[in-house]
Amino acid sequence: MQDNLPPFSSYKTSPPGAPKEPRGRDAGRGKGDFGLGSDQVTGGVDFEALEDRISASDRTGSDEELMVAFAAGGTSAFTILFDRYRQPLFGFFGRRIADQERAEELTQETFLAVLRAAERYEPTAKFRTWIYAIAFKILRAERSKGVFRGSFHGAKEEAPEAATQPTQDVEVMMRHAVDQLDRLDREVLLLREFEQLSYTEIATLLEIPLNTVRSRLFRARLALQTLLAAPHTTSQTDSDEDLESDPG
Amino acid sequence: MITASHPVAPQDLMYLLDGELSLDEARTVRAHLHWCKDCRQIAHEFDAVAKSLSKWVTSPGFHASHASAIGLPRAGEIPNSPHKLP
Repeated sequence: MQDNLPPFSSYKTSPPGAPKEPRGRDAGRGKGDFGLGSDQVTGGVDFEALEDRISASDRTGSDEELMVAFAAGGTSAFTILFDRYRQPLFGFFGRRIADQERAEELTQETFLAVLRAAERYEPTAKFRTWIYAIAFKILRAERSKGVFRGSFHGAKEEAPEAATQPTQDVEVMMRHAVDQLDRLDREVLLLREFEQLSYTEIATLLEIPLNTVRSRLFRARLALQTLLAAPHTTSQTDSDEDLESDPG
Repeated sequence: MITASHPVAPQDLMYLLDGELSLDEARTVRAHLHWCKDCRQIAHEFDAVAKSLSKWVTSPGFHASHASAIGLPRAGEIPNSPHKLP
């Protein structure tokens, strides 16, 4: 699945310092330099200086700068990215599948995919959007294996044990309520609320029109408001329909 | 419902809270919120849903040991195994 990772250049937003013009993915690229052979091409990123900053525990570099630094060989940059994204990515999978151990595996798989894709990395879009696109691709592959159905929508058979802590109560209640949303509505809502993607980023990720994002998100929030006001009602989920088959 | 005297739709309130309006649009909706109690209530309800969701914290099961497990190879030297790393 990682062979078809979305190219970074498929997204439109450019981070500060990113090159103005699109480049051929492999043009002029050599091992280690990531094809970023000049300041003009790299957008003025000074790898050594960036690595020094990181080594000096200045952990304020942007995600995009860190990924460029990692692609150029700065492994400490990846450690910082890992620290920044391990919990959000775990949350991404953990809210979508009930099997938390599997969620951890998928999180790890996402980082592996980032490692593998590093050589093809081009800082022409937000790293955050890019890594969630990778995570979403992995989630889709998981769905296609059929595991997803059993672990999320099959939660009735695999319902978590009775909650003994307030946080678990909230998790059970939220999972139950969100599970009752239409699948595409749910995905749009989760991407907005937890991954904090913009409407445009969600549209790109899910390959649906921007207006569909707007209408689905509005509908999801209204529905969730009602569901949270009357929790633990009987599930009305559309359950086993794949997101990809949802017309939007 | 949008009318001449009520130019803001509930969706606009959602877009405002999500930061999806242009500056001019946001200014218009904010101005409307100052005097429209109904819209303030709707905005409050959107905000309440977001706050409820924010309480949904996934179990912190992703261990720091995974970081060392990855081992941070250089780009281009990544093993092909889809799951556990050496």
